[in-house]
Amino acid sequence: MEFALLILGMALVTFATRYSMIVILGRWQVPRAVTLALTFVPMAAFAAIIAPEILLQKNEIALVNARFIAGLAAILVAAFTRRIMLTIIVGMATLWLVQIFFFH
Amino acid sequence: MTRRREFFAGARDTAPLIIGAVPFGILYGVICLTAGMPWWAAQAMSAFVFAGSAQFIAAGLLGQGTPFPFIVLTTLIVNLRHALYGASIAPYLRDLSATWRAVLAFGMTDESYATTIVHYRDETRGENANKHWYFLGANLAMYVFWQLDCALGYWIGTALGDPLALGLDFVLPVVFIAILIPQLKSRATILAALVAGAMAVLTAGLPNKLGLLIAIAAGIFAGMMTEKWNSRS
Repeated sequence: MEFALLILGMALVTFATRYSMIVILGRWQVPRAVTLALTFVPMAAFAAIIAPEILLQKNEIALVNARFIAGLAAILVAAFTRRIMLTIIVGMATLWLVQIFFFH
Repeated sequence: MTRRREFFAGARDTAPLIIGAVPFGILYGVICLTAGMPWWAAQAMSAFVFAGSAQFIAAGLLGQGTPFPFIVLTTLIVNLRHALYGASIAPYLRDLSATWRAVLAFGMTDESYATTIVHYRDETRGENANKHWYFLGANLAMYVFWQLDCALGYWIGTALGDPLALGLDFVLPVVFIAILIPQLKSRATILAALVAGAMAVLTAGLPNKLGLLIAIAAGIFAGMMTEKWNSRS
């Protein structure tokens, strides 16, 4: 039931963003700065979710942990190959290996 | 072109982008499972929200136990770019009925917008009178495949079951890394991501995931400043 409310809320705001300007008929010329600012939103949101997941343990920064090492490996693979599945495989495999050998 | 030909041309021209979205749909399904969403909620989100990035981020936030109103607010911010798409395509849809415009707006994604706006602006591709059928074809093709991709992803996640359990909660950040990093193609985007990430870590202690909004704002600011500095020098 709570999921249904969440999805309803998300559906409404998403539809509002898509429909609003079509109704206003584009009479308003969007400033270039606004267009530019919005291109950064998804990237910033993804980064803001990733960083605490790999850097924090119980709200403390911990660089010597399996998740950070695996995350770093995934970032390197993604940066050099730009291949999604390869990145995921290397990231998960690194996590498992580090956990098995160093942090059991 | 006739309505029928516009419709199929829209679906066909969007096909490469639809194929590009297949892995994301599948990964979304897997992520929903790791975030603890039941299959019907994962599928309903695809059916009613139908916005890739926002769905990913919502599933990620759900997995971290974020309050629902906050997820809705983040969805709004992440989808604000659609308002810009709407503004740019609005002049071409001016003469359509309210129903047509609502249906087209509901189905508008990054992919279908990209192909349709090119089609409208290209005068060598005939009269604009029936081009809303092209838009509908692009939207509908994207919609049908997105539903199938997500269902397939959830099913794959269920089938993997135990192997995933080893590092279940790590699937999410690693998938996000795989999506984010290839998008960082300029100094501005790299800085936006770095600043947003750093700010998210620094503000992680704030209640209700308030830090996420601060981090996004800081990332946008960093990106804008870099662009400004670049254009000056």
